[in-house]
Amino acid sequence: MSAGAPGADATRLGGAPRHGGPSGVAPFPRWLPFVAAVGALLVVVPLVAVVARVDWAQLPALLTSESSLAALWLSLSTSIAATAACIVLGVPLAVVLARSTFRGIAAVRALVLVPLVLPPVVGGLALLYAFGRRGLIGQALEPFGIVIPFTTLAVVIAQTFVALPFLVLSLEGALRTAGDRHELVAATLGASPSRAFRTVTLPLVLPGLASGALLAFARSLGEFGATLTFAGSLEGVTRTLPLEIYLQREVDPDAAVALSLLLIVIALVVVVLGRNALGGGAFRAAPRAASSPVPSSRPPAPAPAPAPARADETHGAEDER
Amino acid sequence: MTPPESARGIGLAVDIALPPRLAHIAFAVAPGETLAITGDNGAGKSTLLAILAGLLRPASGTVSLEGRMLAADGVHVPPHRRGITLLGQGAPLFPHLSVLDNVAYAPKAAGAGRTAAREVARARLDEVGMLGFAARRPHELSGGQVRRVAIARALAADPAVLLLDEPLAAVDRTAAPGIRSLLESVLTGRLALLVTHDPDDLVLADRGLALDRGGLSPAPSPSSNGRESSLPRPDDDDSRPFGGPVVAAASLGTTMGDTMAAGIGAGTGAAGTAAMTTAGATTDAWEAGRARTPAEHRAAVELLLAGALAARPTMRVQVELIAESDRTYVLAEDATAAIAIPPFDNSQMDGYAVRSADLAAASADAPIELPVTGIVAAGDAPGILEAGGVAAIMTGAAVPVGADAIVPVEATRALDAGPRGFAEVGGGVSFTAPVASGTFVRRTGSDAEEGAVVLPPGTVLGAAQLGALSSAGVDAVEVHGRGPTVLLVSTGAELQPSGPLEPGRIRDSNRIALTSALVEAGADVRARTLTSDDPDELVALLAEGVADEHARIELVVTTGGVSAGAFEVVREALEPRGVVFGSVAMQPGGPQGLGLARLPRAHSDDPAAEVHVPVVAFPGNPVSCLVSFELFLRPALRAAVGLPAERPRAWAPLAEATASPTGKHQVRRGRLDEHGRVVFVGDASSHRIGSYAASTVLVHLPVGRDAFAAGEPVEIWRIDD
Repeated sequence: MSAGAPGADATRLGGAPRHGGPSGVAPFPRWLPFVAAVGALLVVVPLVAVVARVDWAQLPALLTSESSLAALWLSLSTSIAATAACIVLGVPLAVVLARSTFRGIAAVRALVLVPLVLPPVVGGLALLYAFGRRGLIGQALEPFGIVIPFTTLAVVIAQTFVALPFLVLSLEGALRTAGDRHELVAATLGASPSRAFRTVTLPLVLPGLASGALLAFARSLGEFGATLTFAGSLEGVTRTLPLEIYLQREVDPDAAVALSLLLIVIALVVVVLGRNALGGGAFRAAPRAASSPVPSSRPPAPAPAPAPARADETHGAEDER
Repeated sequence: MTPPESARGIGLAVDIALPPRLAHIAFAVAPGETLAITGDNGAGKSTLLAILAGLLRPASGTVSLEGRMLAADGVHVPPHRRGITLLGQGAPLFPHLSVLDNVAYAPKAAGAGRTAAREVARARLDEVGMLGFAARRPHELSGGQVRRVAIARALAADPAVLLLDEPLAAVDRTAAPGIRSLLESVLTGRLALLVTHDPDDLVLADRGLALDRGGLSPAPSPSSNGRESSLPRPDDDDSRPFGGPVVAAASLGTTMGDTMAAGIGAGTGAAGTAAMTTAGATTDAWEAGRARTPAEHRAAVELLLAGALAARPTMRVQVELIAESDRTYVLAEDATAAIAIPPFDNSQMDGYAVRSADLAAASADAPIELPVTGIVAAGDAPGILEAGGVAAIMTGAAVPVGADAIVPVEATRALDAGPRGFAEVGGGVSFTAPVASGTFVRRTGSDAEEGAVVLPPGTVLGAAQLGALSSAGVDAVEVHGRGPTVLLVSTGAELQPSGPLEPGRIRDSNRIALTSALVEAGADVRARTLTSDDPDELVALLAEGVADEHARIELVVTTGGVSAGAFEVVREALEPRGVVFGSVAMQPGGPQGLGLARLPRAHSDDPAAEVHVPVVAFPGNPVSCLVSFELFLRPALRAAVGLPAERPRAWAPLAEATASPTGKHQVRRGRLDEHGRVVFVGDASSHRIGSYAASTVLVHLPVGRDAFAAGEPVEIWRIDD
C-alpha cells in the first residue's frame, strides 16, 4: 500500500484485501463479514474447545509420562530430519522446476506435487509398495539386510514424502520472482554456475527457502496417515505425537488432550516464528506456493486455491494473507 | 582511438547469424577501440551483446577474442570464462550484498581473497566517486548512483571486453552528464561495445555501426572521435560569435548599433592583451573606473570564454537518429552527396530508349522500323539495349546501357499496338524522325554531382535538410556536440528552492529560469542554491563543484550578490580571487562580475593548490538576470554549438511614448500589437518576471536619450521563437 494514500487506514478496517485501487478500499458486500466470522469460528472454536478440555492439574504429569516424552522426542527428531531431507532434495528440485525449459517439465512438476493432494494413507501405501520387503526397491535392498518399513527411517521417509512439495512450491515461487538476471550478471563477472548458485541464487531466495522449510517442518510434525501405514505405531520407534494422540484418545482422553495442546502450542510457535523471524514474507509466500497443485501454466497462477488436502495438518498457515 | 603500442593485437572478431531473423553480421573491434552499435528496437542489439557475453549461442558463425575462439560450430565458451563483462540495461546490483561486496564480487570470483577483493573494490568505487557509499545497500542508492556502482563492479572484473547495453537509459537528467563523462573516461583506450539508441551516447565511441532488421547497414564512415574534437573552429573573424551581427547592427547606423560597435572596438583592442578578466587591458572601462557599455561587456565575456568555448567536440550521428531526436542538431562539416542525384541516367518520358545513330536516316517519307527487344519500368535495374532494337521505357526508369536518347511514345507508331500505344515486346515500332543524342535523358548527377556539397556547416537540421541529406545518400553527418558544462549557483539568503514559502523568503526562480536558458543554448547545467551569506561557503561550494571530475565544469555562472550592498556574497568571495566587479551602463542588469576565478583545489593536500575557472556573475533580480544572459552569454554559448547566435532582430515603431534613463541602455519587455507597433509589457522594474513571461520581444532603448515619442522606430529582439 502506497504510503500516505488517502484511506489507507480505512482499508485495514474489516480486513479487506489490501490490493484495492489507488484510493485503497474496494468495497465488499455487507453480508460477507458474517460468513467470514463463521469461517473464523470454525477454526477457532474447536481449538478453544480442546483447550477448555485440558486438565491443567494433571498436565505436567501427562506430558512427562514416558510414552509422551518418547513420542515428543521422536516427533521432533524425525521432523527435523525430514525437513533437512526436504532442503537437500527439494532445493535442486525447485531450481530445476523453476529454471528448466525442456518439454515435459510440466509433467515432472505434476508428479512431484502429487503428495500435496494425495490422501496420506494412499501415500503410505505407495511407500510400502516401493520400500516394503516385497516392494519395488525394498526387495532389492533386503538381501543386503536393509529393511525400511516400520523403522524410524520409514517415519522420516513418510514425512519427507508428504512435506517435500511444500518446500518445492514455496522455493520455486521465490525463484521465479527473483528471476535469473542476477545470475546472468554474476556469470559475466566471472562466476561459475556453482559459485553463482551459492553466492547469488541461494541468498536471494533465502526467505522463500526458510518459509518452505518451516512449512515442511510443520507438515512433518503433523503427519499421521502415511506414517501409520508405512511405519506403523511402535512406541519410541515410529509412534510420533499424532499417533500417540490417536492411541491415547481410546485409552486416556486426558492424555490425548494434553498432547493436542502441545501440538497446538508448537503450531502457534511456528506461525509466530514465521511472521516475526521472516517478516511475514514466509507466510505470504505460502498460499501462493500452495496455489497451483495442478501444474498447468507457469509461472504458477497467483489465484487463491483450495487448501492442501488436509487443512487440519497444516496448522492454519493458509489463512494468513 | 589509436591503441597504445602494448595493447596492439587482434581484438574482437564477430561473424554470426543473429537471431531471430538470422541476419548475417560481421565486424571487428580493435584493441583499445570503442564501437557503438545503434539501431531500432527489435533489431537485435541486446541479443548481439548476449551472444558476445556467452549468455546465448549464435545460430551459426564465430566469435573470437584475441584469436581465441569463443563461439563456433561445436564451441561455446561459457560466460564466466570469456573475460567479457556485460554492463546490462538497468544494471541491477545484487540486492543482498553491500555496495562494496557488489564490486568485490568479480575479484572474488577470480580467486582473490576477501581482503584483496575488497581492496580492489574500494579502488574502483573511488574511481566512480562512490567510495563513501561502500557500506550501503543497493536499495539505499539513487538510480544514478546504482549506475556508478554497476560501472565500478564491471571494471573490477578487469574485462578484456566491456559490453554496455544502453548505459544511460532511464538515468535522470541531472545524473546523466556525470555518468556520461565517467563512461567517457572509462572507455578511453578500452575494447568495448556500446549498444545505444541515443545519439548523444555516440560521443563515447570511436566508431559507430548501425544495426537494422537486415543486419549491419552500410556503416557510417568512422566517426571523428568526440573526445578528440576533430574540428577546431575556424579562427577567422566571421566565425567569431559577435563578428557578424555586430557588423550588421553597426551598418544600420543606429544608436544600438553604435553602442555595440563601440563595444567591439574596445573588445578588439583588448583581444591583443592576455586577458582583461585578470585585469590586463588598460583600455578597459572598469579599469578606468567607468561603467562598461553593454557591447564592451559582451566582448569581455566572449574573450573570457573564448578558451572554454573554442573547439567544442563534434560527433558523427546517423541522419535517421537525428530525424527521430527532439534535440536540435547543427551541421559541423560540409555534408557532401554520397551519390549523384539522380543516381543513374533515367528517362524523362514514356517512350522508347534508342540509339540515336540508328535513327539518323529516319524521316516521314522513309520511316525506320525497329523491333522492341525489352521493356523497362521505374525501379528496374538498368539493362542493356540489344543492337538493332529499342526498349519501351517508362518515366523515371533507368536508361539501358547502349541507348542514348528517348523518343516519346506519341512520336512513334507501333506496328501492332499493345496497351497505351506501346508496341509489344517482339513487335516493331516505326520512327519518322531522327533524334539527337541525349534527348529526354536525365543525366546522372544533373541535380547534384556525387561529392557536391549538399549543406554547409552551421545548417540547423530540420525536415527539409534531413530530406535533402537522405536523397543524397548521406546516412550520417558530423554535427556539433553538447555545449559546455555550466555550474550555476544562485545565491541569496532569501531564496527557497521549493516548498511553501517561509516569511521573508522568495522562490529561487533564477535557478529554474537560467537552467532552462542555459540548456536551450546547448549547455549542460549543474545547478546549486546557496542561501548563506558566508563568502567562504560560496568558495567551498564552487571549489567542490569544480573539483567534481565527472562533471568537468567549464564555466561558472552565479546570480545575485554582485552589487554594493551589505551582504554581497559573490563579490566578497570572488573579488579577492580574480573576478572583477563593476557596472554596465544598462538597465536592468547594471551590476556585473566577470573573470577567471582562482579557487582552492578541493581534496588537495597542498593548501596553496588552485584551479582556475571562468566566472560570469549576474545580478540577482529575475529580469536583470535573464536580460544579462540574453545580452552577454547566450550568443557565445549558442555560437559554440553551431546554433544561430543572435535573436531575430527587427525595427518597429513604438505604440506609445516613453522615457528612459539618459545614461543607460535600457532593455524593456514588450510585444507587437496588430499594427506591428511595440507595446510595453510591464514597466522597467527589474523584479517583473511575470511581465517578462508575457512579452514576445526585448525592446532596446539606447543610451543618450531620455524620451522616445510614439511612432519612433526602436530595435527589438524577438524572444518568442
